[in-house]
Parts: sequence; structure tokens; C-alpha cells
Amino acid sequence: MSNININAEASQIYGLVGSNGCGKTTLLRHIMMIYIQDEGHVFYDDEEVKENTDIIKDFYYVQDNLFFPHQFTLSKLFEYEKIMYKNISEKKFLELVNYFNIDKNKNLNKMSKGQRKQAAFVLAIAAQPMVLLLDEIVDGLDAVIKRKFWDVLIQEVMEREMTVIISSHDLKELDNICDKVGIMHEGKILKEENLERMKDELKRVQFAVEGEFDASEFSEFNIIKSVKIGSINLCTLTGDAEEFRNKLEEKYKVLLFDKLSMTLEEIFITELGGAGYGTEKK
Amino acid sequence: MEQRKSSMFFPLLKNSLESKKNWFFLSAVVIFVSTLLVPFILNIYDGFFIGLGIFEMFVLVFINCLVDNSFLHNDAKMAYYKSKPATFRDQVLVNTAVNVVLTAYLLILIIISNAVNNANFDLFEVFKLIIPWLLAGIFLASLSSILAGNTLVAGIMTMFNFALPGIIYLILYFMFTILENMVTGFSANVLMQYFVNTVYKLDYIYFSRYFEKPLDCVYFLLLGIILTGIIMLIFKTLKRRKNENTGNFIVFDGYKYFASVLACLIVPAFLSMTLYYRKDIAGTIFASVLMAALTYYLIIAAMEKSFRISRLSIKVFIVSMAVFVAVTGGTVLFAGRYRDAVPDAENVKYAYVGSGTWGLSKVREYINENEDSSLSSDDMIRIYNSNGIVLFSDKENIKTITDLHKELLKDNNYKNDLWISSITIVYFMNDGKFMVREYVVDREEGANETKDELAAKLLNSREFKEINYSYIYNEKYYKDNYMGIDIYIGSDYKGEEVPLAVTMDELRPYLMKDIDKLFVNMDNAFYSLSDYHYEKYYPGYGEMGYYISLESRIRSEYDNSSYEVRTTRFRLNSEFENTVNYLKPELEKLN
Repeated sequence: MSNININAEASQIYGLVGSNGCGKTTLLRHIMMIYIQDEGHVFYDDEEVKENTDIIKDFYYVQDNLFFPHQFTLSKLFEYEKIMYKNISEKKFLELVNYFNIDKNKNLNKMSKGQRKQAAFVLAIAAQPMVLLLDEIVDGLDAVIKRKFWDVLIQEVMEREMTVIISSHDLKELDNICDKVGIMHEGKILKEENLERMKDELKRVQFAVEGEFDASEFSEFNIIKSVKIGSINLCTLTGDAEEFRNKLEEKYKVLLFDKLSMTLEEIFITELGGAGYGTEKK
Repeated sequence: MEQRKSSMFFPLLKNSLESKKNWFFLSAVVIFVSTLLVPFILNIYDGFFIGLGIFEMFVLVFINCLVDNSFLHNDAKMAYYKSKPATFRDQVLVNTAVNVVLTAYLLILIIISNAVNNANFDLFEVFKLIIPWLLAGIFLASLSSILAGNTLVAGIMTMFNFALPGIIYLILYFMFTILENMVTGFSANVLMQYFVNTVYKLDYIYFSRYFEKPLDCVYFLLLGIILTGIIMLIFKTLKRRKNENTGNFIVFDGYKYFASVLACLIVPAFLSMTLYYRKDIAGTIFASVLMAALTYYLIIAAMEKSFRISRLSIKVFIVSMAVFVAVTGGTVLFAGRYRDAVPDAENVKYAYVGSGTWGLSKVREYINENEDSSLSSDDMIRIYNSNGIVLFSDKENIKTITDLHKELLKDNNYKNDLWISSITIVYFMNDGKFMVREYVVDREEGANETKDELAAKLLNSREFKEINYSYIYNEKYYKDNYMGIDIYIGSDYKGEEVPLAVTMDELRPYLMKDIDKLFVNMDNAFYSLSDYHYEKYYPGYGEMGYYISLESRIRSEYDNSSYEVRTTRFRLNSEFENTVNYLKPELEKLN
């Protein structure tokens, strides 16, 4: 990884998205000081996060490939984590156990993948960290449980001003809950922006004109992508959509013009496409 | 202001001990069944079962160490524990402490078994040795688990690290073997013995010197230093551990190369020891380099999980071998300067020529303990009696030894019916230094006569006789150090021996007269000198006839009540005229 510069703020849900193997998990582990970077720093509240410092007590990391100690139940693991997390709340733990309907006395290693994810999430929330790092937390969960996850998470963020950094390939889910997004590719951050602003920057328009549309006449609008499906043209651009429409009307007879909203998934594909990812022809 | 993680050692230790209940219970069952129940059922109460219990304890503690530290070898486990507010340092120390508690617990169980069984097993003697081993083993298992990225490799590395002083010993020995092959007169055994006695005190490192010896403050100091050293390494390596390499065989590249280079030198070291009799130095060196390269390749290929090893690995091997060759070559060149050195007899206080060097360190201790570094006649005899080494202090005899030394440098061949492999010459100098040379004797035609002549001169010297036949020549020493001599008379024709009703005091004057004029044959004299008992070939030595057999009971230097028996036989032929005349009535009775 190189040139990584991300910034997540309090009360913010930060979505870390990227191509497969781009280094999302590695980045999360560097933030947690599981891996020690050759150079660079991680700051929390202007204080540098270093290995073996008490700051880590405010952090909680739930990894994708979950591990639970041998023969441990959720209750036993809660007791173990109680030694380490001073803010851990038994009340919250019990509430969440009930909310997710988990058997806290069942061997964690005998639970299903989904149940294990829920157990890990319950412990993470009960620990009441100030920074929560979730790696592919909703992977393999059904829609109902996902909804419960997001509800709990949003409530925690609002009530305790917790910062959440969440990495996922489920961009539709992140689209709904993230305040800010960092897009990673090949160990670098391609783009980091507030999600709404990101959506404002990139526009998608669909239009139909008389004659053949020539994108080269509109270079000032920075058209990233232009495709034609039947008689409809679809363009992704970073310039002003209204000005684009005006110029289009100057040059052509416009039969149809619509501004479409961009999803996170579309932004992701566009950004990675710009980096040459997924643009290979069959 | 940066805040260090506050220690969670004690709460984690408590938690860990609680979660180990089943393991403690299982261990107790294993120990009690094999040290208490099985001996009870079989009605056998000896040390074997306690020994078995101690072995099981090693296995149980070793397995527990590896299991406890296995969190460092699985990516998910490692990430889970490392992401927690408890430091790795606390977590590793907790595991180490749990294993120390387990060890103490198992030791107590063995003490109880020993007491209940009344097995009479001297546990204290064994514990003196195994407690440091267990403690060092536990700490080394933690260190090895940090260095390794895989639990199985961590186990192997624990054993490797434990054996590291021994491996270094082996490699040094290998170096000295090369030196021995290249510089005549230098012995790998002697050099290693000297090195181990003066610099590389392996018996201290492994605590073996305390076996059957009282403990002293050095024991505890040494144990403290070793454990502190390992803890420091644990802290250092934890700080530098590349956790992203978890799952690899070895996490640290530096350690990977260190272990590989050492391991690849062990194979040629064994090879050279096995083929010690080979004289083809160039061939042996070539084979050694080939074996080292092959071993290194196999180890690195296994560690890197690839048949194609990295350029860096090749560079490390070349540099390491270059360093090894440079150090060995330097030693060879240095020693080569002294190859032909034979001291002036005037500068030598004591000299020894004989078959080996096993008593050498004892003699050195003896001389060092003696404040003015001069030995009395009684001391010389004591050295002979306890080590089989005759030390010469007479300048004429020392001169004969230096002449023999010069002769050996000129020609190391000696051929007769008896086989000599090597001959050792040791000089203890006036200034306290000493010089040892060991010469391989080749069974080729050579100047036998000169060697035999010089050897016979030594064997027939008054000084040699006085030491070798101390019970005859030194009455006071005999009284002080011998618990008696039983004298038998025998006949080869009848094949029987009968005790003689004659005391040593009565027989001594006659034997002394005969031995005074006894002249060892020149033939085989060089062989006699290299024989452990200085077997002497005087005229009529091998003839059939009558003989007297002296069974000496020499008092042990450690324990006044125990003794060592040594038997000497004299042929009652014309060489022993005075003795034969004195024993005439007895001989007639035997007829």
C-alpha cells in the first residue's frame, strides 16, 4: 500500500470500498496496529495511534474471517472481553442478545456463519468503542438481519458519536448508510469524498437527439463514459448537467433529456473504470 | 501525551488459569497414573516410573506451550488477539507464566508420587538439571512461537534454539576438524576441550556441571541471566514481528537465514566427523561444501515454499560461507605458524607423552590449584592413579620427549604388529601456559628404531618407574592412598591362582631390586608409550610360566570408603631373580 490518506470523523460512517485484493483488510489492520506500517501514521483525535498505547481501548475491530477462542460461548467471551474493555456494557450486551435472538450459551464455533457475525457485532457494540472497524460485516447475512445491523449501528453513531469504518463489497447497502466513502484500488485510495458530494460531482444524463451525437464536441464537460443503447445516449460527466443540456440544444434537436441519480455502485464502477479496472474486452 | 497500554497481566493470568482447569486435571491424571497407579499395580517401586513421569512432564509442558502460543500462527487468531487492548507482550507473558505454574504443579505431583511410592529416587539431583531446562524451554517456546509463523515450525524451532549452544559447538568442532586436517599436530578434540573449558562453557550453559555437585550462587545467577536474555529477545522480537507474515514458516527473514546457515553447516560437520579417517582433504572439503549448499537449498526451498529460491537467499549463503571459510582459513593460518614449534626442554615444567587427552583437563586443574604450580612426587602419582597419565618433570626426560616430538614432525610412520592411531604430547610450561599436540601415526614403513629408542629411554627412566610402580617405590604414598594389595601367585600351566601369605611390605624390597634393573625392550617401546596402561614389553614378557598378580585397591579421591582395583602381573622369570628367590618356597608349593 502507498499514499493512503483517509479521514473519518466522529459520528460518521465511513465506507471503504474497493476492488478485490486492493488492501481494504490490510488498511483496517494497519489502523488497528495489527500490522505495523513501514512509514506513515494513524491519528485519533490528533494523537498518534501507536502499538501498545491505551488509545486502542477506544477501538474495536471485527474481522471478516471471524475467530472465537476454542469452546467459548458468547457469555464467556463477553466475560473475557470485560477484562479488556472498561466501557463494555452488560446491559447493552443483554439487550442486543435479545434483539438478535442469539443463544449466548451456545459454543460460538458451532454457530452458523450468520450467527457468528451477529455474535461478533453484539460484542463490538457492547464494548462501546469510539472507533469501530467492521470488515465485511454483513457478508452472508439475510436482509432482515442486515436491517437490524444498520439500525443498531446508526443509533450508536447518533447517540455516542462513534466513528465507523466499514469495508464491504455490498455497495447497495453502503449506499444507504455511509456518510463518506473511500474507493481503493491496488493499494491506493483513488477517491475519498462525502457520498452526497461524490454523487453531486458525477452526473449521469440520458438523452436522444436527431442525428449522431459526437462526444468530442463536449470535451469541456469531461465526459467519462458515453454509451448508446438504441437511440438513447447515456453519458457520465463531471461538468454542469444544465449547461450540458443547453449546449446539447444548441448543437442538436433534443428529443429527450433526463438527469439520472448515480448510485454508489455506479460511482465505484466509473472510478475503477477510469483506473482501467474491468474495462477489458471479452 | 502518549499513553502506554496499561498492563492486564494479572486479570488475564487469572482468566487463563481458570480456562486451563481441564488441562491441569488431565496432566495430573497422566502423571498420577504413570508414577503412582501403574507402579502400585505392578508392585514396582523404582526410579523408572518417576523418570517416565518427568518425561511426560516435558511433553505436557511442551505441548501446552505450543498450544498457548499458537495464536501467533493463525491469521484470524492473531488479528483477534492483536486487536484487543491487551498487548502481545502481556499475552505472551501470561502464556509463559501459565506454563511455569503448570510446571511447578507437575513437579509437586512428581514429588508426591516419589514420596508415596518411596521410590528412593534422588529428585533433587534431577530437579537441579531439569528445572532450568524446563524454564528455558518454556521461554524459548514463547520466543520460537514469535519467530515462527506456524505452530509445527515453532515446535521445531524451540528444539533448535534449545540445542543452539550445542549446534554452535558442533560447528566450531567442524572448524577445528578442518584445522586438524590441515595443520599437523593440532587436534580438534584438544582444541575443543580447551575452548569449552576456558571460553565456551557448555556445561554451565546446560547446567550439567551441577549434576551431583552442590548448587552455588552462579547457578541462580546464570539461570537469571539466561531467562532475562530470552525475555529481552521476546520483547525485541514482538516489537519487530511482521504479523502479515503469519502463516509463513518463519516470520523473520533474518532468523530464517540464521537458522538455515547454521543448519546447513551441521550436515558437513557430521560428515567430516563420520569420515574422520579420510585423508583426502580436498575431496572432503568439496563434499562438505556440496552438502552444505544442498542442505541450505532444501531448507530455504521448504521455508519459502518454492523450488526457486530468492537471489537474497543465494547471496546470504555465499556471504556466510565466505565468512566461514575466512574464519576457518584465518585459524588455519594462525595455527600453521606454530605447526613445527617444539619447546626448549628448559622452558617446560612437566611433559606428558601418551595415548590420549582425557585426563588433560584434570591435570590442568591440578596444576592450577597448586599455588606455586609445582607438583610433588605424591601429586604426580595421584595424577597417574586417577588419570593414567605419567607426568615427567625430569629435564632429561623432557628433553627425550622434545626429541621424540621432533622425530614425529619429521616422520609420523610406525609399522609393527601392534596398531597405534595417534600419540599425544603435552607440555606444561614454566610460565603456566601449556601446549598440546596430537599426531596421527600412519602405519607405514618409517624410522621405528628412533621412536622405540626414545620411548624405551622414557619407560626405563627412574622417574617413570617411581610413578608407574608407586606402590613399590613410595612407601608413604602407598600407606596413605592404598587400601591394600592382594598378592596372588599363578601358573600358566596349571591355570590357577592362589593367594600368597606375603604382605606388600615383605615383598617390596625384592620387587624393587628387580624393577630397578628391569629394562624394557626397545621393540614395541613406542607402542607401550601410547598404551593407556603403559604395557611394558620386558624380556620374557610373553613367555609361559609362573607369575605374581598384584590386585591394588586404590582409595577413591572422592570417597574414603570406596576404591578402584588395578591389577598388575609380573612374570617370575630370570628378570625377577630376587623376587623368585624370595618366593621359592611358595613356588615349590604350587608345583
